[in-house]
Amino acid sequence: MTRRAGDGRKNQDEMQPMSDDAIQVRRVMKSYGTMLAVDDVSFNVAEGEFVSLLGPSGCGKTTTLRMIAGFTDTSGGAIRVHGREVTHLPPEKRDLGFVFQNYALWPHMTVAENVAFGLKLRRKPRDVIRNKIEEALSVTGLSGYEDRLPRQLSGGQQQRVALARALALEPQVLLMDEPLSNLDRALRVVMRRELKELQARMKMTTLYVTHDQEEALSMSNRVVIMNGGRVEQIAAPYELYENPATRFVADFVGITNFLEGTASDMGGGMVGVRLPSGQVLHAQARVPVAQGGAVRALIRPERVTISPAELSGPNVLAGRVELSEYFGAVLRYTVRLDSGEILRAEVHNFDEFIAGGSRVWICTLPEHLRVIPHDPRG
Amino acid sequence: MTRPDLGTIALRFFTLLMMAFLIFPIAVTLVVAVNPREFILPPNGFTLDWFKAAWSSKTFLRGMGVSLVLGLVAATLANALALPAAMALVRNDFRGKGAVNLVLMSPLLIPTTIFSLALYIWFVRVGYGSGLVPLLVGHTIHVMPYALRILTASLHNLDPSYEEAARNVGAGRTRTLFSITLPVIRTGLISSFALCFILSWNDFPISVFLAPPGWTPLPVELFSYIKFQYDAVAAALAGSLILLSALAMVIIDRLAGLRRVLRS
Repeated sequence: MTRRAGDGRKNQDEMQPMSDDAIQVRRVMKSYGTMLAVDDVSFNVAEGEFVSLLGPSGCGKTTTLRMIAGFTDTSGGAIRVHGREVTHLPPEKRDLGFVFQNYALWPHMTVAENVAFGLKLRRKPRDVIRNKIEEALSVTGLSGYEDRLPRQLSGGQQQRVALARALALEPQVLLMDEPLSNLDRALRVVMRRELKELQARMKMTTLYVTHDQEEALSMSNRVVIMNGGRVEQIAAPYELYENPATRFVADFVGITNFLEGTASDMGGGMVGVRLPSGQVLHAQARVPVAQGGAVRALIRPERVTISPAELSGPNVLAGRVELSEYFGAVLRYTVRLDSGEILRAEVHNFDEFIAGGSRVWICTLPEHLRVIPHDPRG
Repeated sequence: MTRPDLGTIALRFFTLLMMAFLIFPIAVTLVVAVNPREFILPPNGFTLDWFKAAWSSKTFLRGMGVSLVLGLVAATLANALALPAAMALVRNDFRGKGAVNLVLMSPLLIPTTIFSLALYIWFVRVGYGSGLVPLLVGHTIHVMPYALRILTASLHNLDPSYEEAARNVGAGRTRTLFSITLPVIRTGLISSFALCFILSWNDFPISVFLAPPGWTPLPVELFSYIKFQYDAVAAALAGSLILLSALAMVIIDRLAGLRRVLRS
């Protein structure tokens, strides 16, 4: 499907009063030939906020970030930083910090020279530059490494230099492109905490690109989930997990069971999902669904009760355990429902172990059941 | 101690043979250059007379001076032209890119003698004939494809994020080129410059056709000399150049790290 931003709508958007958001991305597009890499993406980042762009590789998140930084041209739409339109400015005129996935430290310059380069371009006095280098390196825990060359540093240290180089210029906004993805897992977790702590202390407006949902959920104030060049949902991490707006979000963030059915209004803020078997599941209505429309019921594996004894109630599904896996702190069951669907369940506080082949009853509370409209894209 | 197997022994033998094959002509040249008897082997003594004669010849010294200037200017011009061309080819996809690349590399495809003759005829037609400008143009065109190849390879290996990072902290295009791009591809630039210089230094056909009187490069002088003289002065001169080249290698090694230059 190809769409173009109508000029009329674009103008209307531009007429909107300026907000004091640090970054405004409005209907931004990027096409390569007939391929739309970024398709009508809009979001804001508030002053001091930490926002992540999360999605699988090829979803357009990095292209979006590169368009904000000015490394890639836009094919449409507008980008504003603190109200200033930067869409067509070259990168050196945008005053944005950028941390690259591969750090991009200049190999012929020492750590201090890497940090100093931008300060020298701004013709700062020599003692100011020296102070700023010192400050940036001490904030990132690199004091004493001034005269090292990048190749003499470990990956984690290079990552810190890249951050120091960006922070020394006190940019209006910090953009980061998968900055932790080249580190090993243990270091990634440490750096993630340090980065978040530093960002919160400096109140640095940050836009962070990652494909790692754990990173995005644990660090961000809000997350923009992208897929196929489009925004799927923009929400706080908790909302994203608890109230996914689309099947993609539900699937990408955590594990979800899907049961297909048709919607029926039950009144009192409740919605019913009629399964093909005729059984009706009760759910709290959170997003509007059309009466009689095709919907999906979402059940998180950890939000169910599983029992070898028959349970009664509206949201009870019967089945047989196909696989039970023991992971110490958690038991994972794969259950074949009587209707033929597979349902995954996780139990954390368990006293009994239900063996494979056992008959089980699974129950979920209406407030734990989510309903989303059936999306023809999948 | 393990005994090397037959294959290892054969490989060692073959390697030694190849090295002897490569070194033999150089060794003969050096032996002849210090042999008192003219071109008669085995040597019957040691003398530096031929070297003295070679280095006191005004013709050779002048030829060397011409070749030096010619090589430096041609290498500089060729790299100055090849760098923007390489950037355009590496960083953009445009219609006719293959054709542009082919045209830029075409001096490699045409035999140098034919190319020199054609260039000479063209310069005569436009009213120049041989001259300093045609000579420089000829040498520059001749060495440019080599510069283009090496610089294209260097730029291919250059991570674009180095330049993006510079632009991001506020450097314009020019500043980025001089502060980031050129220093990062320094080894490629040095090896490209050195190769261009050596090719120009060794060139014979272009110089024969295009060199004006009073601007005869060394290879042409050397050729005229051995056409009429039969002594080891030429060998002494060749020997000197071999030793100078070795010295140049050492200097490049100190400057850029020869291994890195050769690898780039």
